[in-house]
Amino acid sequence: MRQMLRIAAKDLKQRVRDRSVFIVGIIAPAMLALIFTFAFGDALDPSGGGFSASYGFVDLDGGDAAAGLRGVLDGIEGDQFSIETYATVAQVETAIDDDELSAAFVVPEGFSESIGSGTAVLEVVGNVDAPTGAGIAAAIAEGYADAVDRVTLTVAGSLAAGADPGMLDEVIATASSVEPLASIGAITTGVRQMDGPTYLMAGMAVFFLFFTVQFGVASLLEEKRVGTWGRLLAAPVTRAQAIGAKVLVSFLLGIISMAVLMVGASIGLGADWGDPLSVSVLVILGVLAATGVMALVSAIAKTVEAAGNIQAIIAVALGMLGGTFVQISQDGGLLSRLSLITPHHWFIQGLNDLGGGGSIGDIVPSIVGIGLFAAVTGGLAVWAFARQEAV
Amino acid sequence: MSNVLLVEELEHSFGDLLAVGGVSFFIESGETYGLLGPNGAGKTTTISMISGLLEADRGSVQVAGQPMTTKSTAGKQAIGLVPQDLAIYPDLTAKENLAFFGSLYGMRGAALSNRIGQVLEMVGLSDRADDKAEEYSGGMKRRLNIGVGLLHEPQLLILDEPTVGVDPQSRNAILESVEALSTEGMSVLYTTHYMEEAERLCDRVGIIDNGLLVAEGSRRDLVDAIGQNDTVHVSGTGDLRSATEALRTTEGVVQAAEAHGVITLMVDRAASRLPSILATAGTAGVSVTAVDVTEPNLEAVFLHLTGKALRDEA
Repeated sequence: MRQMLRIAAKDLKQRVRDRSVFIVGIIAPAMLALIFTFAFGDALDPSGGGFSASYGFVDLDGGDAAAGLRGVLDGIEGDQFSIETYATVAQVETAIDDDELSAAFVVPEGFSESIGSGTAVLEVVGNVDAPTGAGIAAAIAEGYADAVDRVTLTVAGSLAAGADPGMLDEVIATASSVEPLASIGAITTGVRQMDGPTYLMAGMAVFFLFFTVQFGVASLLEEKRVGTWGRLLAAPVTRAQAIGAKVLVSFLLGIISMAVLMVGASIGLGADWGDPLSVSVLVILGVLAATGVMALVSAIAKTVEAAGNIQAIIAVALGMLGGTFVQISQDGGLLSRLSLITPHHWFIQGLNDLGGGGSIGDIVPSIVGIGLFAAVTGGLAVWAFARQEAV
Repeated sequence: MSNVLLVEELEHSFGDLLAVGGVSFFIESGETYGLLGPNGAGKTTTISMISGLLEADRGSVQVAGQPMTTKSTAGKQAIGLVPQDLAIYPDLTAKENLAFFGSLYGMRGAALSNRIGQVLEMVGLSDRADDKAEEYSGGMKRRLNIGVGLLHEPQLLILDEPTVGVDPQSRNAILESVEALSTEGMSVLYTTHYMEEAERLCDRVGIIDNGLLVAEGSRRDLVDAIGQNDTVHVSGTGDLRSATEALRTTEGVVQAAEAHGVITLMVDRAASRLPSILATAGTAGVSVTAVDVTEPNLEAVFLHLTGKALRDEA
């Protein structure tokens, strides 16, 4: 054990001196999480809190269809959306250039009369600096256009079926009031969930964890490259002690990185991770899972460069599948099932449960999921190391 | 004398390739033993098994009475390994390198600090002790590489081709260090494919080729085994022709010839025959101005035993 600690202490000294571990383990995930928070954080907030958009409305038509769109916009106006009417297109373009508006709806002259002719065009002018707000405006316009199409089709069908033209107003009113077969309403997911910034920080932390741990185990390959591995094993040190020291360094670096990021997020972003003991269990298991993968890669790879490349591919693939960037696991298909093999999925799932007030009992599936991953990869690494020649 | 190293029937294969096929030898306390062979002969594989880096397929190694395997630590304590390639941490200073490896051998505190100072002095790096190894010249790195092997004062120092790729000045410094250690009584296993190094340093030499120890003994033993004689060149003034005739009948002289003012003799064990050779030349009226004795070297022995020239393989 003492020999293992001596080697680990030497390795830690080298890693600290190298400084790259701080960049990969702490600075990069923290910076990315902050950047993502500033860029998309409000949009990712499940409560929707904080997001707002201002829209302009220009009615050059003056007909019923324009009034209908205005009615739709009036319906969404509130804390998050504000609607302002402009007289000309030039005015809204100026307001958009000045970043006063996220987008503007322009109903051109003759729009109402041209409906049904196939030439009606409803314009949405977006602000390139407000992509989220502009995208929502486009979606609103498309939704309104679909509704208009539905009414037009109903009227055309009624006339074709021999309906009395005098009853058209009644047909239109009926068609307009029909609810779509499917609609988006308030959805209760039934699971607890972290807020956007906390989710991003958790995702980035576990994503970069799989890079951070390589500074420990992969140094075994670096030792082989510089020739010191043979000298280590020629000293009164067993191979298991030497490899164990590398694994220990990976584990320690992973724990330090996660601890700094999570404590930093609590202080800086107000992240609430939940029960500290349960969070610690998740973090320890997550670090073991990442270390297991890196140990396996180090046992298989011939060079440091190869190990780095393989680890990067694995880290990105697992991270994407596990939902560190977007929650693929919610799509319900093949990717959703594949995500279940990733420790990232179970780690985030566990933090979601804990962040919403869950206890250790609520994260048993996460503990089992990450634990199994760590056991399988760690076991394979031990097997691969055992098959190698001594040097 | 007791054996510091005892190697018996050592064998190892890499797949179908037999790298070492039943090598046996021993090294006595205070002895410098040379393992001589071309690249690929099996020297490094043999050393890897002796150092506990590689498990033998067959045979055994005992270091200072302790059985050596990849798992044994007691035997490893008695060995100081200086690998062929540099084996130091470039991002650590000389002092840090020595301190780390010293700690692995159980050294600590003032004893470790003092020994580090001695070794740095010995390898001439005292004034650069706090510089990172990556800032050293190639020769300095080689010297630190040797220093690490010496640090814990091992009973057996193993040097695996320590002068490969080293400039002449550093090479000479390394050879002088090994000679000094040998004089101090340290046992040394020295592998090389440089004949003159083996001749200069080693009490006994084992010649290894294709994984087999084809001959072993002192330089003299090996030369005797192939029946070669020393060459003696006698320079002088006077009647060289008469002296040459007289020397042909002198005991130990196998062959004698005179050309360009120099008498060339082939002599069995020239060192013991020189007094009678000089006396015979004097009696024949030659005033001797210089005598040069060239013993048959290991290059010739190696060539004779393996049909290969060591240099060509370097």
